[in-house]
Amino acid sequence: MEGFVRKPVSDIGIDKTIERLDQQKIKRAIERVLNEEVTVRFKIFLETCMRCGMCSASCHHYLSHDRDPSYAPASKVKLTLGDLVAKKGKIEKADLKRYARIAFTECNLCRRCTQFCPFGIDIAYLISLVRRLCGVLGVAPQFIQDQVYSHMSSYNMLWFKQDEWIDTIQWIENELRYEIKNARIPLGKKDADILLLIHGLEAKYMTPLLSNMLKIMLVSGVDFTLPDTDGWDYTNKSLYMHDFETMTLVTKRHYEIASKLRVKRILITECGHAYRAALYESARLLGWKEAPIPFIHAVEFFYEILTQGKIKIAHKVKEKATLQDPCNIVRYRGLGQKLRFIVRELCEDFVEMTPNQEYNYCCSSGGGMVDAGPPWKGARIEGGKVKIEQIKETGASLVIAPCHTCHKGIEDLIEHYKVEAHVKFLADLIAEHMEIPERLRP
Amino acid sequence: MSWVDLRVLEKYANFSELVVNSLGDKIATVVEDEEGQRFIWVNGKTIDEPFERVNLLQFTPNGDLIASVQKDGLWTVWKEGVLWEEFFEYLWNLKTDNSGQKVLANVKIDGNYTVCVDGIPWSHSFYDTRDLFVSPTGAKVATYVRLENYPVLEIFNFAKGMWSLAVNDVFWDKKFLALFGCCFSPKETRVATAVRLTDRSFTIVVDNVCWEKSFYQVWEPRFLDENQVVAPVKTSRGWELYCDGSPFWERSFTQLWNLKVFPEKKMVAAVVALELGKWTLAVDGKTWKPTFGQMVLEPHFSPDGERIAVVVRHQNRWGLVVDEVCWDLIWERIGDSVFSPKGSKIAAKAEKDGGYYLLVENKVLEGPYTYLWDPVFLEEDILLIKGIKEKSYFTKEIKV
Ligand code: SF4
Ligand code: SF4
Repeated sequence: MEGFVRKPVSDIGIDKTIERLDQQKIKRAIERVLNEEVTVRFKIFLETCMRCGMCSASCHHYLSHDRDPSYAPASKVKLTLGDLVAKKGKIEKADLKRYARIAFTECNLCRRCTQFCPFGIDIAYLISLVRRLCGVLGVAPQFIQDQVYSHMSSYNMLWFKQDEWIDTIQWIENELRYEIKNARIPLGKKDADILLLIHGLEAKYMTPLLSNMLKIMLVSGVDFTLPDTDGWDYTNKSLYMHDFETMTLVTKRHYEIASKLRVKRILITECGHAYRAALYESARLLGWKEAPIPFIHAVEFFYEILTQGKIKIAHKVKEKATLQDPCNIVRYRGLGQKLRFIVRELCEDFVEMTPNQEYNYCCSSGGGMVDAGPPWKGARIEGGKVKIEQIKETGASLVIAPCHTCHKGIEDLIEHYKVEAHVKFLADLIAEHMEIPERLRP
Repeated sequence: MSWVDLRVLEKYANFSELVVNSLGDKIATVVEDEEGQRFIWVNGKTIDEPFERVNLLQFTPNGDLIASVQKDGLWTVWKEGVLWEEFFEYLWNLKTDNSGQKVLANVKIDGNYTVCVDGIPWSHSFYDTRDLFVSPTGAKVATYVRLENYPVLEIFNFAKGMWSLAVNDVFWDKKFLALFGCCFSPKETRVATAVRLTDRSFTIVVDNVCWEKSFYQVWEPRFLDENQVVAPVKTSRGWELYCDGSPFWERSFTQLWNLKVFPEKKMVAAVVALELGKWTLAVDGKTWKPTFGQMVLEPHFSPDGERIAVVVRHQNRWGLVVDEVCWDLIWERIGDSVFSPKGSKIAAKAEKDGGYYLLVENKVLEGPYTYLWDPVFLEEDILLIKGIKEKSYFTKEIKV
C-alpha cells in the first residue's frame, strides 16, 4: 500500500495464521464483525472524518516517527477500516496482515487523539474493531495468543495450576512474617469486605511486589480475602485481541467469586487495561452498564487508606520523582487527582511531566504492545521516543508508574535510550516508606 | 442456647476463619502457636497433634470435621482425627457428597495430578486437573483434565485442544480448548459440560457426545431431567435457552445464565438481562416484572418448587425477591434465602452498618450481631440462629 513502508517483522501468530485462512473464512468474519456486532457509531465515525489532520500531532507514534503521515491516527483508520470498506470487504491476505500490524503494534488504544478531534472521533474504538476482526480470525501476535489460551482454560495468563496459586500465597504469607508479625492472608473468606485480585505476573515473577501489596493491606487493617480458586488473576489479556468470549468468561468469573463470597468491593493492584475491561468493555458485553459490584483500582484504595489515616508515610522519598499517568485509569477513568495526592504524600520532590493527566502521552506499550512480546519490542521502543523525551525533561531519577504495562514499557525505554532513571510501582514505594505500627512488628 | 467464649482465641498467635456445623453445637477454627504450629480447635479446645498447615477446614453435611493437613511437607486429609494413609505433594478442592460420607480432593502425586476419593487415588493421572465436581450421593466424581502438555507459545497446538473431562477415573477421548460448567443428571447417570471447540465456537457435551450445533458462545448447562440438557447459547439473535441442541424458549435475551432446574416439575429458572442493566428472572420463559440494575444471583426453589427466591442488587443495595415481590432492598450484604422444610417461610441473614440481622419474610427478627451464619430451619416454625455477639459464639432457637 502506498505510503505504508515498514521493516518486516515476523510473528507466527499473525503470518502463519493468515497463511492458513481461506477467503470464505475471512468473508464470514468481516460479515460477523461489521454486520452483526458493530453499532452505527462505526459508520458515523468513518463518514465524519474530514481528514483535517488535527489529531495527527496528538499521537506519540506519529511524533516518534518524525511525523510520518502513515502513523497519524486518521491514516491508521484509513489504512485499515477505510480500506476494508472501500474494497467492500473483498480484501487480500496482505491487507489483513497490514491491518493486524497497524492495529496491534502501531496504536495503543490510548485515546489521546480523540481529545483533539473536533468531532470527537474515537480512533481507539475503530482500531479495536480491526483487532476484533483479526481476533475472530485468530490473527494476533503469538505472545498475546499464548496468554489468551491460558486464560480460556485456567483464568490466568501464565498457565498457573490451582495448587500453585494456593501454595504461592501461603509461601508469601510465611515470608511476610519476617516483616509483619503473624501475617495471615485469607483465601476464599466469606463475607470479607474486599476481594483482592492480582496480576498474573505478581504470582510468579513479581512476588516481591505482591508481598508489598499484601503488607499494605495488613497494615491498613482492612478486612480482605483473595480467591481460593481460579479467577484470582485480573489481567484478562483477551481484551487485546478483542476475544469477547474469553473476556466475558474471565470477567464473569471475577464477579461470580465476589458475589459468592459476598464481598463489598473488588480491588485490583496496579494495572490499567484490566480496570477498563472489568468496568467497561467486558462489563457491557455481559449486560452490565457498569461494574455490578464496586471494582476499585489500587490508586483509589491507596488514596482511601491514606486519607482515612489507615496507613501513614513514615519518611518521604527524597529523590526527584515524576509520574506516568496510565491512560486507562487517568484519561479513561479520571483518577489523576487521587494519584497526585498519593504521590505528594510519598515524595518530597515531585515534578510533573508535560503534558500530563488526560493529555499525558501513552508509554507506547499499552493496549497489548508489551504483551505482543519480543518481535514487537522495537515497535514500542520507536513509538516511545516522545515518552522518553518527556521523562528526560523532568530531570527525575524516579518514574512512578502505577500500571504493569507502563512500568515495563518505561523500564525498557529507559534501558534502550540510556536514561539515568528507574521505575517504581506505588505499592513498592508505599510499602518501603510507610510506618509499621509497633504491634505489627515481628 | 449454647455459648463459646471466643476471647480465648486471642491468646494464639493466629487463628483462621471460624466454621460451624449445621446444628450449631460445634464451632471450629485453625489456631497457630508462636512456633507456627497449627492445631484444629473445636469449642474452645485444641484437638489432636499439631500440623505444619491446616487448610480448608470445614464441617461435612453430617457434622464431621474435615481438613487438608500438612505433615513433613506432604499433604493428606484429616477427618475427625483420622488421617488418610497416603500423603500427597499437594491436596486441594476438598469436598464431600451431599451426605458428607464421601470425602474427595484433587491431589498432586510425583508432579502429576489426579483425584483421591476416601483415601484411594484414581489410577490415571494428568498434566493438570482443575475443579472438582461430585454428584449428590457421590456416585460420580469429575474433574477437568489436561491431556496434552505442549510447551508455552505453541499456539497452533493449543488450538487443537488439550483439555477433557475425567469421570470416576475414566477420561473422555475428545480434547477441547476449555471446559466449564460440569454438572450431573438428577439420578446421577449422566454428565454434561460446556466446551470450547475452537477459538470462536462452543457447544455442550453430554457423556462425551457433542451437541450437533455449535454456537458463538455458551454458558453452564443443566439437566432438565435424566436425559435432556438445557443451556444458554449465544446465536445471532442474542442469548437463547436451548435444549439438546434446539431452541427451548422462544425469545432471546441480552444475557441469560445461572440456570436452576426443579426436576420434578421440569421447571427452569434463569437469570436474564432484558437490555443493558435491566436484570430479572425468567421462569419457564416468562420474565418477572420487576427488574434490577446490577445483579440477580442464582435462583433458589422452595423444597416443593412452588416458590422462587433470588438475591438481587439494585442501586448499590442488596435484597431478596421472592415470587416477583421485592423485600426491602436496603442491605450492604445479604445471605442466600433459606426455605423452611415445607416452604412456607423464608429466612436470610443480612448486614448493614457492620451489624448482622436475621430476616424472616422480610421482617427483621433479630440483630444487630457481630456476625451471623445462615440460619437453619429445625422445623417449619423453628429457626436456629448461629452468630457472634460480644466475642462469644451463640446459638438460639426462635419461633417464627
Ligand atoms: S496510539 Fe493513541 S493517539 Fe495514537 S492513534 Fe492510537 S489511540 Fe490515537
Ligand atoms: S481530527 Fe478527527 S476529523 Fe480530523 S483527521 Fe483526525 S479523526 Fe479525522
